[in-house]
Amino acid sequence: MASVTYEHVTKRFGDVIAVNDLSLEVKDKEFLVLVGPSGCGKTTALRLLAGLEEITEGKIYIGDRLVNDVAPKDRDIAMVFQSYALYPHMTVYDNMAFGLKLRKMPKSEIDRRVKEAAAILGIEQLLDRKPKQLSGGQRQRVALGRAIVREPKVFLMDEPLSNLDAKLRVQTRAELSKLHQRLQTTFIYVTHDQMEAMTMGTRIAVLKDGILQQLDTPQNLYDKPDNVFVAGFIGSPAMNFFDATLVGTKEDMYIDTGSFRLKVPANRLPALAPHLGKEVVFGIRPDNVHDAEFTPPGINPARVPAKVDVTELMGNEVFVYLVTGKHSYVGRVDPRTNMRVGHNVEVVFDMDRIHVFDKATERAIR
Amino acid sequence: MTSRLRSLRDNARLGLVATHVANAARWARQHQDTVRGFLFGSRSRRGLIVTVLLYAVLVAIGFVYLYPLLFMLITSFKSPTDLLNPMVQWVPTQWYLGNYVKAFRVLNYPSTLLASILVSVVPSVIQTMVCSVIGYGLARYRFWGKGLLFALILATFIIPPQNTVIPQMLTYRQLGLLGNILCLILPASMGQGFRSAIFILIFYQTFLSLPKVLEEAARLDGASDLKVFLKIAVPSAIPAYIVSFIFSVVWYWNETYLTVVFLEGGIQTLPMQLSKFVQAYENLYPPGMVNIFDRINEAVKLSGTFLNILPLLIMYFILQKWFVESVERTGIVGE
Repeated sequence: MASVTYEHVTKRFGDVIAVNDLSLEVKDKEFLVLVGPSGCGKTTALRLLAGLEEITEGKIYIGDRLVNDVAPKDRDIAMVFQSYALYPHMTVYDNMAFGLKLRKMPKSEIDRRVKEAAAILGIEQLLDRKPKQLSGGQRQRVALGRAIVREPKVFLMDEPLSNLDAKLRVQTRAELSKLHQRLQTTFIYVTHDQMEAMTMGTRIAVLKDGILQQLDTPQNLYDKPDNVFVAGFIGSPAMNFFDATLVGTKEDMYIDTGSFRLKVPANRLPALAPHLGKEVVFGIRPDNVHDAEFTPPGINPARVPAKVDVTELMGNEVFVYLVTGKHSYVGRVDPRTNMRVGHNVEVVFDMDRIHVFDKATERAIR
Repeated sequence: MTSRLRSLRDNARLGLVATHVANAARWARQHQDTVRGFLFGSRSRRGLIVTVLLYAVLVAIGFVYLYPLLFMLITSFKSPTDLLNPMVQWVPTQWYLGNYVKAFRVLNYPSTLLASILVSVVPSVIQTMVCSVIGYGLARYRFWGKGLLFALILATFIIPPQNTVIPQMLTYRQLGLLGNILCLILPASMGQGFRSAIFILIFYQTFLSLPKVLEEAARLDGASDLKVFLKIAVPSAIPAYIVSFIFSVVWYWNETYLTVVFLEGGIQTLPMQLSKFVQAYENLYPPGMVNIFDRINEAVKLSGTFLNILPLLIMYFILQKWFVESVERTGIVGE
C-alpha cells in the first residue's frame, strides 16, 4: 500500500513526446484509471512507473521513495499486461509462483499464497494446466493471480480486459472492483474504454497527446468536464457540440448556433459575460435532450424544433438522431416516445446542464 | 375380352417397366455421381486418379533420393560371389556380413566413432549455447556497433572457410593446438564454429519474435537479465536449440576438410578414416597376401560408408519427429 506521485514527468521517444510534463498524485488505496485514446501516452505513463521505460525528465515516487533509478523488481509493484504475458512453458501454479521463487520465499509460504490467490479468483482447478490450455478469461485470472501473490504496494493494469468478450468484460469489471475493495491496495488501471474508467475508477485521469487533460472523480468528469476533449471523450453517446456565438446583452444573453437560439440561464450569465459577442462551443449531452412530450420534472427547459433522422431503440431508452437547420445531434429520450423517422418534432434542452467552452482554448467557461 | 385383358396386362407391364427404368435411371444418376466423385474427387477430397498420380510422382521422387542409400545398403550386404554374378541385381543370394566385419576393422570403428562423437557433439553443444547468447544479445539489447557486428557475422557466413583456413592453421600451430580438439572448441566458444552465422541468425530471429512483454513480466517478477534469459527466453526457444544442435552435429560430423587440416596427426574421426579407406584396407589386407575374395571391392567400401553415416541416421530417426516440428516452428514462437 502506497501512494504514487508523478512530478513533471516527461518521456520522449526520439522526437515524439509520449508523456508531456505529467504531474499527478495517486492516493493510497485509490483506484486510479488512466484513460484516453490510442497513443495518448497512458500506457507509457504506466510503464514509466513500472520501470520498463526510462524517464526523460521529472520524478516518480512510490510512497516517499524516489524510484527513477530503482530497478523494476525492486519497486514492489505488480503489473497485469494486456496480453497477460503468461510464461507459456510454465503451469499456472509456476506462473504464479515464479516471482516468489525468485525472491527466495519458503516453499510453504509460496504454496499458501498461490492457493489463496487461486481461491480468490476461482482457478484452483487450473493450477496444473499450461496457459495454452486456458480460455481468455481464465488466462486473465491467472495474470491477476500472478500479481496478487506478490502482495505488492501498487497494482498496475494495462488494459487487462480488452481481450475478453463483451459479457465477460462486464463481469470481470465488477470482480476487479471487488478485488480492489478486498485487497485495499493502490490500483492504477489503464484503458481506452471510458465505460471501464467510469465504472471502476475512484478517480480518472484523462490524457491526450501525452498531456493530462483532467483528473477528477467519474461524476465530476461527466458533469463538469474541463475542456472540449474531456467532454467529448467521457460519456456514450458523446456530447453534442455546436459552434455558437454569445449574443444579446449581459443581462439577456443568448447562445446562437445559427440553427437555433437558446437563452442563457441567469446563473451562468456572470461567467459568460466576458465572452459576449465571441465564438464559443456549446455542448449538451444526449441525456439532456428530451422528447417534449416526456419532459422530466425539475429541469430548465428550452424548446428546439427538430427533424428526426434515425431512431435507435435500446429497450430502456431510445437514441434519436436529430437535425435542426445545419446541425445534427443525438438525444436520449424516453422509450415511450412517439418520434418516428421523418417527423418534425420539438425537443427540450435542459439548460441547467449545458456546457460552454471557449472556442480558441477549448476550455470550459464556468 | 381376352384382348382387353391382354392390353391391360401389357399396360401394367409397361408401367412396371417404366418404373424400373425410372428407378434405374435415378440409381444410375446417383451411382454416376458416386463413381465420378470416387475417380475425380470432389471439393472436399481427392479423387482416385489424382491420388494415384500424386503418389506415383512422390514415390518416383522418393526413389531418386533413396536410390543411392538403397544401393549402398544392399551392395554392402553382397558377398564377393554376388558382386561378380551379373544375375544378382538387387536382392543378394545371402545377407553377407563379412564386408562389415572388414570395414569395422579397417575403420578402427570403436575409437574413430568415439572420436567422431567427441569432435561433433562437444563443439556442437558449445556452439549452440554460445550462438544463442549472441543471438539473444543482438535481438534484445541496443549497443554501439551492433550494425558493424552484424556485418562481420554475415561476412563469416559469406567468406568461404578455405580463405581463412591457412591463417587459422598457422595460429593454431603457434599455439601448439594442432591435432587437439581445442582447435574446434575454441572457435565454437567464440561464436566462430562451423557456419555459426546461420545459428546466430536462427537464434536472433527466434528471440526477436519472442514477445518482449514476457521478459518485462519476468523483470517485474524480480528476474535479473541472466534469469530472464535462462528462465524465459531459453525455454521458449527450445525448437531453435534442437534444430541448431542437430544441424551443428551433422555439419561437424561430415566436415572433413577442416578437421583434416586441424586434427590430422591427433584425433582420427570416422570421415577422416573413411577418406583413407583404401590405403588403410590395403595395410590390413595387403593385396598380394590375401585371396581374391578378400581384396578390396565396392561392397566393403560401401559398408564403410554406411558405418560412417549410421550414427547420424540413428540420431535422425530418434529425433525425427522432434526435428521436423522444430524446423517448422523455428522463428514462430507465440503465446
